[in-house]
Amino acid sequence: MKRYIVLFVIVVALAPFVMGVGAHRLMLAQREALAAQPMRVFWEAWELLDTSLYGDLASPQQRTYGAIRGTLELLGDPYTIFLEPQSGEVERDRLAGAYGGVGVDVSRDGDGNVLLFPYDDSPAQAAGVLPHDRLIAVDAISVAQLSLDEIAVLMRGEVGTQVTLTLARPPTPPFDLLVTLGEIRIPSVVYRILDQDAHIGYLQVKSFTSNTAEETSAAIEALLSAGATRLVLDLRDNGGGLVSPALETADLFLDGGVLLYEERRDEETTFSGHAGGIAVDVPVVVLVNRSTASAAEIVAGALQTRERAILIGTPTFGKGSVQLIFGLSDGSSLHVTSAVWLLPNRRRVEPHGLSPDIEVVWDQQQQLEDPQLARAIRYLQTGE
Amino acid sequence: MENGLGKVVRVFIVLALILITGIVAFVAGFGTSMLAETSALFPSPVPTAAIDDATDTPAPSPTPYTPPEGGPETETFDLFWEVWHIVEQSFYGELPDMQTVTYGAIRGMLGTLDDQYTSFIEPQTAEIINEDATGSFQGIGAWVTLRDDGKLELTSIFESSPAERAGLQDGDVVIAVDGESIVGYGIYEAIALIRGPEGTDVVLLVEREEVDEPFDVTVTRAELQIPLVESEMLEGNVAYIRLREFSTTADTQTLEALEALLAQEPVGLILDLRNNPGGWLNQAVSVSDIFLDGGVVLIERSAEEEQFFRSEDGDAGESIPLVVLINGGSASASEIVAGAVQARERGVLIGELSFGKGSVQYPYRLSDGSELRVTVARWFTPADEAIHGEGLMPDIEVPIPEDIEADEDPQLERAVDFLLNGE
Repeated sequence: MKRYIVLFVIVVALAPFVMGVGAHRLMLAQREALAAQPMRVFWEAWELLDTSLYGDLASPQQRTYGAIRGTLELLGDPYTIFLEPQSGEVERDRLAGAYGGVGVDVSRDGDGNVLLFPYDDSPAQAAGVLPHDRLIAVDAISVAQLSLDEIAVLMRGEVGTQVTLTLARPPTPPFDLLVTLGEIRIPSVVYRILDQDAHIGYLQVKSFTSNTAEETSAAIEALLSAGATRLVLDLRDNGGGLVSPALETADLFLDGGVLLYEERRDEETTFSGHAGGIAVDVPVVVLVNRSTASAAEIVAGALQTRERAILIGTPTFGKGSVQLIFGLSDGSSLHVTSAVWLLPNRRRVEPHGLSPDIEVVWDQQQQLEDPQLARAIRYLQTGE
Repeated sequence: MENGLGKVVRVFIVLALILITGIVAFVAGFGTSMLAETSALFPSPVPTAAIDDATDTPAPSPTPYTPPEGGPETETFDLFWEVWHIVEQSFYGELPDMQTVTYGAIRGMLGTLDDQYTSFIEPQTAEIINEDATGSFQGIGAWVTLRDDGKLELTSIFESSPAERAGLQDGDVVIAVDGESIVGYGIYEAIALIRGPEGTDVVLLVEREEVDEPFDVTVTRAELQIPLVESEMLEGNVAYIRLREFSTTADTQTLEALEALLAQEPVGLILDLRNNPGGWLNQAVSVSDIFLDGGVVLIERSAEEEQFFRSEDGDAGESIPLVVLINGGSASASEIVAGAVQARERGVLIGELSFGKGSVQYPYRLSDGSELRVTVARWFTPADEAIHGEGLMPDIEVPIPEDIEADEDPQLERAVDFLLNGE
């Protein structure tokens, strides 16, 4: 009897089970048929072009690429893009002609002197350039009236070639140093005590790479132990990079709390900082400009909206979204915007960027000295 | 009795158990199938890299998709589905519906053709075109043009139309319709918004040159005839016919106006095709035929064939001295007429270099009511000359000076002068 019941139950259960699976499959098939239906018009158009068009018809591959582009355009997002397979030639061109440099950071002091700060293990350091050396000329071209960008260009060239730097190191009279250009690994963080004020540490983050947070942390410690009581965090021309180090960097200045929200189509992630940190009490001014973008805007935006620091400079770029890159089967690739960032005050970074609290424009053609840094120093000295 | 009742209850319980088991099994089967769908049974794309380090990149949750079957070259096109699948899973923002995607894909495909005249027209727009073909429509009554800056200009207000009654003027620019900005819209999208049933109101946000701020104008729509032809008798007994475009009644309207003018025995006729963007090829041929005796009007050549379109003897306008006015806005069908008149030495062209569109589009109706206009051929003048990309050079070139007064028309004056003085 019991055996019968078991058998009975199995039979009674199995049939509906199979029916259930079948019903779901049928539903799926219908949904797909429905989804594919509108594309019928596309194939009608495709075939009409094949049969009727006067003139040259693009290849099926090009037409497919066109259809993809036309579809992505509908999304209205400039960062969601389709890239055709890169031709081998372009790739080779990109790899050829690696540029080299001497490996120094260049700045101007209040008297208009051009000062050099060599990177560790750089050709400049190997040739004997010391921090604070004054640059007079590059290959006999005087740098007195040149902008910092123009000076940087003079000290670049093909790897293995040489440049002559004319330096002054008072009281030593000017002298020449021959530097062989090498490939430069640009450190993501550069720092020094400012000549203008020995209590202000200057910290420049050029981009956010995997160890930027550690470098920044070490730099802050070094500046504080060298006597700095206030900091200038320079994020100008910082185009972004990786998000995690950017969040960790912001965390150094903030005592816990929200750093960033990342919003997807149907979920949101909150990134929060840790309590405490080495620079949570140090007065900070952040320098930003039009080229401050993406991860750099996260840091500047977190410090600004949490009222931890003011921003000085010009409005930032306004890139606040995350793209995933997919390799496609034919070698082309697809960049898809998968999330957007919201600052701690829930305002989007994109597309308007951040407005500085104090707007200071630097016209590099007209002004040799950095007015944004000068304004930051004044703010840190006077509190306004 | 007790036994009987107990039996009934037992049977009932057993039946209920069977039913419950069945339902549970059905749901379980359905659920299992759903689970299978979202598990690793279906491969899903995984990003190979991420810009700006998506710190918590989710594994995209797979949903199945099938490329449509039966289409040609579906294999090449699989890439499209690969992309769309990824976008569905990973894109941050709102996704367009499948119809919009289809239209976007078609437009993207047409973008690879290097032929601006092969175009896709959505059902709504196709409907407008078909409405126009009947010779009347329900709207405000104005000719419009889409300017280079993406704005819709009312180039000419119909006489005693709702637009005129509402105070709209030639040259007004419409930037919004019922609160919806139309800047950047296609011309038909914009027209579709402005048109609507007779008796209803539409609010246009209008920019006018001498007015600082855009202002609202409310217009009550009406049923309107499309006036393709304007005609009058000018000074010196010169007949004048202006043809706006070559839609389905262009030939009959032109002939009607011509016959009325001929009754007044004019010394000559000016056919004004300036800013006439064209229309139907058969209308170009039949309008040409009114003015031409027997002979070739145009030669059409597709990849496979060559076709001669001819005019016949015995029409009303074959002998009257003729001047055709053209300018940079005279295109396509206008150029067919002007080109035939010039090549056949039937009359003189006065004005400016014409637009230069020498291709023929065939409008294919697609299954959902949209339309694909495909360039199927090129046409050549009776002298076997191609005008595509070149335009027709008038016999007498009369440029319009930049600082011209609104009521001056040196091209028309030159045409009258030519007909009266023969030079």
